[in-house]
Amino acid sequence: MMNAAHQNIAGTAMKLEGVSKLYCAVKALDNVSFELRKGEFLTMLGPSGSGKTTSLRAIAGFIQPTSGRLSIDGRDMTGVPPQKRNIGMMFQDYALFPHMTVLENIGYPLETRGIKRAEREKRSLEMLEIVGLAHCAKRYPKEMSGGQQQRVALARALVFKPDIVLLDEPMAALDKKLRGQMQIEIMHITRQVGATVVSVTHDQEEALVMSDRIAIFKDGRLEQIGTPHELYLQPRSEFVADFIGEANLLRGAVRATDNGVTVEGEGWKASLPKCDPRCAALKSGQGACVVLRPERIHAVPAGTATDNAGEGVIEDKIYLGVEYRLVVRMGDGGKVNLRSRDVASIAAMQAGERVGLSWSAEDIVVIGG
Amino acid sequence: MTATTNDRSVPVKAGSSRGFRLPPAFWLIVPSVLFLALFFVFPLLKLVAISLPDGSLEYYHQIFTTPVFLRVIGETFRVSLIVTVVTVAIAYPYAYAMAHGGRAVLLVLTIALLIPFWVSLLLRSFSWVVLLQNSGLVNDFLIATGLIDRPLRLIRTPFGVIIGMVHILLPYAVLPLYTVMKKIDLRLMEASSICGASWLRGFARVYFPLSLPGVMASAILAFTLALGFYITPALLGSPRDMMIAQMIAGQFNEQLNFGLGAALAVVLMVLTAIAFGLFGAVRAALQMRGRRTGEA
Repeated sequence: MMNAAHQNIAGTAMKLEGVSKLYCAVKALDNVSFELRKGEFLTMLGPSGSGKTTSLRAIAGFIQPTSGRLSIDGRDMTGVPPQKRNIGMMFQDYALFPHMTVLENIGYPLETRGIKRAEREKRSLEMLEIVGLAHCAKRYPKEMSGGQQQRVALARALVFKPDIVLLDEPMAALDKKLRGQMQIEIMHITRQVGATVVSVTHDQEEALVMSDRIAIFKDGRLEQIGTPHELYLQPRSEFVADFIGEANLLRGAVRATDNGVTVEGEGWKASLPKCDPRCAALKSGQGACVVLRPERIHAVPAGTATDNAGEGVIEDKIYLGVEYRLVVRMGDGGKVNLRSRDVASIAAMQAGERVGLSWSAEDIVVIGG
Repeated sequence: MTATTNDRSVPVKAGSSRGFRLPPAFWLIVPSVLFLALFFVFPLLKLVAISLPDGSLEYYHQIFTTPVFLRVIGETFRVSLIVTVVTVAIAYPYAYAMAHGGRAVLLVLTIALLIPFWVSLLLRSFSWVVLLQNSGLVNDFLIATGLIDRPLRLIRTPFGVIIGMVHILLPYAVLPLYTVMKKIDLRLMEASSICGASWLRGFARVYFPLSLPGVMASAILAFTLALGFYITPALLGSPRDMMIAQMIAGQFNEQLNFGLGAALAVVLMVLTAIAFGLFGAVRAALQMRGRRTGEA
């Protein structure tokens, strides 16, 4: 929905083409390419050491890529120092200037752009109002709470209407309670001023909440980029499937049948009809991984064999109010999680009993290789 | 919350009801306090007493009416001020390199800084004589390269005194600067540059203001030490460049005028204290200004 709104604003804000960064012999970034649209909120997500922070620092200009090209608004950024990039950045621990007041901190980017004091203060105050801290203008950073400092840092990153705003682990320094609230707030504020944002995080929930698109990094490479929806429904690798949301990964062998393709494991099989375009990538005799989302699996009586079904033993049955969670042990010892709102039928099942699992072909993702 | 505050207030109350009690740490400083009282405070009071024979201010009157004494005092302050400025100016980039240059740089610079401490002050001052005299290394080199025809007068001049003093004071000035600088987060400079500031502007608006406490501390240390220099100006300066410490020594050792010597020593001490106070006032004024611009 919000994605559709952003697509109306045409244009590419930033482009990375084959960007690599070598530290000695270690590839911190390996041939990363993607485009950032104007007005978009993109999150680079990945575990530590995956290259997301290196990418952010390369965009900011703190490090130079070893090879590849980075352009902002069509301008090649090779050799352009950070101060000439017109980028705003919110640092992980905010990096507010301790000897300046809140207003001076926010006014600093305007000061460096030669804007006169009166105009500077007017615009800084407007920005302070947007982040809801107009009453704190004369305070010093250390006199404020972590959440307030973060808003000041955000205001300083936005006040000069930068081409791109970078957020480095925006929630890392906040306690858990404040995180959810600030996620929504940062999203609102950046959208209100029409900023193009690149954020970095290792928290998938944060990425899902805030982003129009998510770029998933692993070992210096860009694994996949797409809307949260796309990544959830069509992960292209086991890593992405596991990283975004909860996933059951079942490994089996591919077998071509008269009706299409079947992936089989111990006590389960998943089948794709012949007309399914996904069949093309699967070769008989090879291994494949079937991704099953817990909420897409139905618990059925044992022995109900279909083309897309499995069977196992209920190990745990957990009641969570709106739904039940079942942990089912499969034939090969692997576990499958399922969530069901069909409270009445699950209530009758007992731990230790056999249970059938069923799903439909459209709800699964099959990853070959 | 309430429970914790209550818990805390209980022992405090119990303590106060038993009357004032010295903290245990007090006993740890007793030896040093006794030592200082016996060998520093007592002789100092004795010195003040000697400078005031029968409560008379005659020696002080003599000091403040004799041009040569006033000139030496003035010269002492002038040289100390120059030495302080030069020392801090050289120490600043050195400390910066130590604080932000990485482990290897820190190690090398720390060793280079501490080696002079293993060589006596006297020896170091003599080394400067060897280097700076008319037939010394520096002049020989300059003549050999054809830069000058006749040796420069490097020694027995205020120039020689300043070089020698700066050299000796440098480590003292570097350490307080380093202590402050290593606590400055360099990410603030990154923040400054992403805000659009050149390195120079970032330095002037962010780094330097944050390093000012170190500058003040190192200046105070260098200046107060410089005021009391004795051997270095004696070896590297001419009698015209005499500093107050030499004059005090002269009164005690040569003129045997203990009263005048003591009075000069007291004057040096009082002037040093005044200089200290002035530095403090400047610091307070800087902080006030900072706060006021903050509120403007």
